[in-house]
Amino acid sequence: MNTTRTNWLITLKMATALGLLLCVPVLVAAAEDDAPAVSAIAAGPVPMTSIELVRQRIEQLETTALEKVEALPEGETRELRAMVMYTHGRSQWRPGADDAWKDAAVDDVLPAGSMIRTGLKSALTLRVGLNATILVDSNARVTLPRIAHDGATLETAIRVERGQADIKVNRVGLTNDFSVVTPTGALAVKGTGFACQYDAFNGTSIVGSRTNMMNAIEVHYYASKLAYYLSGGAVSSNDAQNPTLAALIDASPPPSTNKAEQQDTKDQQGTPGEAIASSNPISQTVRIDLAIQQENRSEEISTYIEEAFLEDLAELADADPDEVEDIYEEVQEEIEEDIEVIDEPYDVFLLPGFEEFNNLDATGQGMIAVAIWFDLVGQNDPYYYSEDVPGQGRVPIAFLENLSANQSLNYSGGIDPILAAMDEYRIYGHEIEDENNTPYMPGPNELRVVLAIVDEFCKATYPGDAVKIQLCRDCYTQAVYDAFDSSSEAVQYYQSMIGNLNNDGTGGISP
Amino acid sequence: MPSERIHAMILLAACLTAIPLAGCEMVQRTRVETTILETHPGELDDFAFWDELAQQAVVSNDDALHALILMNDGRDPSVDFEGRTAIAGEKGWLRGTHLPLDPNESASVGLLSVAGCSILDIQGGLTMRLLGPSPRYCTRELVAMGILPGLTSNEALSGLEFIAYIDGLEARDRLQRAWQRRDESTKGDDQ
Repeated sequence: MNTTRTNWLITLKMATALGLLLCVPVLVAAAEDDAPAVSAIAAGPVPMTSIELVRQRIEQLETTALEKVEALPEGETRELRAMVMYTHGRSQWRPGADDAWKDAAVDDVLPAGSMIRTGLKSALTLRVGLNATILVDSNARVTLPRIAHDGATLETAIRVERGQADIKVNRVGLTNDFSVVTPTGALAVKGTGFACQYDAFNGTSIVGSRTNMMNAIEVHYYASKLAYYLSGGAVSSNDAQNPTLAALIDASPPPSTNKAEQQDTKDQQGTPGEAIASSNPISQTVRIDLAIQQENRSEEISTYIEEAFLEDLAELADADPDEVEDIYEEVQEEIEEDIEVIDEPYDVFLLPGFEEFNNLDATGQGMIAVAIWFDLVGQNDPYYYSEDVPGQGRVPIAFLENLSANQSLNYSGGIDPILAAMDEYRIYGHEIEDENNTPYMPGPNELRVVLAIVDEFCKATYPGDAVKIQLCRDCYTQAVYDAFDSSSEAVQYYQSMIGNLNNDGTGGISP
Repeated sequence: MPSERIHAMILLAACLTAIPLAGCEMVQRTRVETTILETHPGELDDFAFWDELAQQAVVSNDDALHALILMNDGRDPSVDFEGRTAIAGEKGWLRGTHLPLDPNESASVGLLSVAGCSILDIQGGLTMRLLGPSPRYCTRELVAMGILPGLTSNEALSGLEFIAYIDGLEARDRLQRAWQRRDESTKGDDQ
């Protein structure tokens, strides 16, 4: 991954930036009353005897700044400015897009809207407003669109058009509204140190300093609705936006040199753009769960066959010779039945996503099946009985909503395929009624039928994708909950659907 | 028949030889109408050159060599493309590149990689050590080091990509110098 390989580059730049910040001989003081822009203390050249000395001076100055910074009356806004503190190599700035470029020199004061550019092997350090220090790295283009003190808020916006900027935002007792904008993303910063880079290979990359507090940086990438929060030395970039995934990729071993494994990885199905499709932890978990369930089931069946076989053997040993043949045939039949059991389809209640239904007792399962069925029987249904409360199709609608809301599923099929699938269950109900002239009480098998129909729908919609099929089942389970149990009104609706059972009429399933 | 086999082998060898040659003749690279240096000639690092380079859809050989020489030496004394080619040749940046180069043709990643490996003094693996820097293996080396994304040696770079490449070289150079200083200070402490 590019992100993995370039992490050391970004880390190096961070280290260099912090080093340069520490070596700056002229440091910032608090804002003066008549000149709200930052102003440097004429501290004179500091003997660079040790890093400790510089650190001490920075701490002293930050303490002084903290004491001087006060909130403005509400509604009052003051424009702040930035000051050049250190230059190395060639760097230029201009106040606006129409102004001429001028070489940057220490103590230059830059107004809001200034544009900065640095040359090869060059750098420029700025104190921006009352709370931020920025190191503009070599060959970079940076703009300072807004630096203002608005009431109790320090508003700062930095635009990194190209290259890297290492930024440290101090907490000075006021609210920090500090944002960084790049061509592909935007960051909101509470108060921390970090590096922000934009280049054509990797897009936007952000690396937090290790001293970051929890969720100190909020990153939004364009064309994405998600926000990512960076804590500590977290890394986020266009390639790996989620810092957790970026860390996972960073920690993952190098790709296998085994050709067969590489081919397997390529052949494996995955969502386009998924960071690590080959080792998706969700699909791994599902696979393992299914394997364990299958193993347990096979073991139970084997144990049952063995026990039954031993019982039959014992019976044979005690039997008369004449009866042996009959018993032998009986054993044969039992074995055949057991083999049929092995070939039976998997119980839908045990499928991942439908476990909730398995936790209900048989009566509860039957009642749910009834409610789902009556929910599908509207007033236009030919078998609708006038005393019934008409179904509103709440479950299919909730199912559609859940499918559409789940971004992983990316469902765009609309309601029609769902209604078509559900119609099978509605017709099944009528067939049962036709077959059973006398009313009967539905049980778990009816619920199995509807779940099997949903399972088929999920498999047809997401063929071969076990994770999505499970998520689809989850959506249906959630839909049943939404329709019948999510609120008092939903429970009332459920009761009315169940109540239709008592209407001994010509339509529907009747007890 | 042995003679038939010999004929078949000769024919096969001729085909195998002809295919790459024919391929080389057939390959055409993108060309720019005018290089940036034609509008912004200069010996020193010029902001306007880089700003215009960032707008380019593809980087030409002339502009690429100028930028690399600036990055390496801080100034580019050559007045024309021949001068730049001569400097690049002296530095060994043109190893494995088909000459003569067209100044308006897009610079290949392979050429840029050989220059990059030379600037950073990258020794590479066994193949590079035995056969010297080549576009193919220098590209792979820089890809492995994370300076280039997964590119092949025949591709071209846009202006912004080229600037990102130069930034990557510079960052790596800084890192190597930091390592060198650390090693020297460690040695000093040991003594």
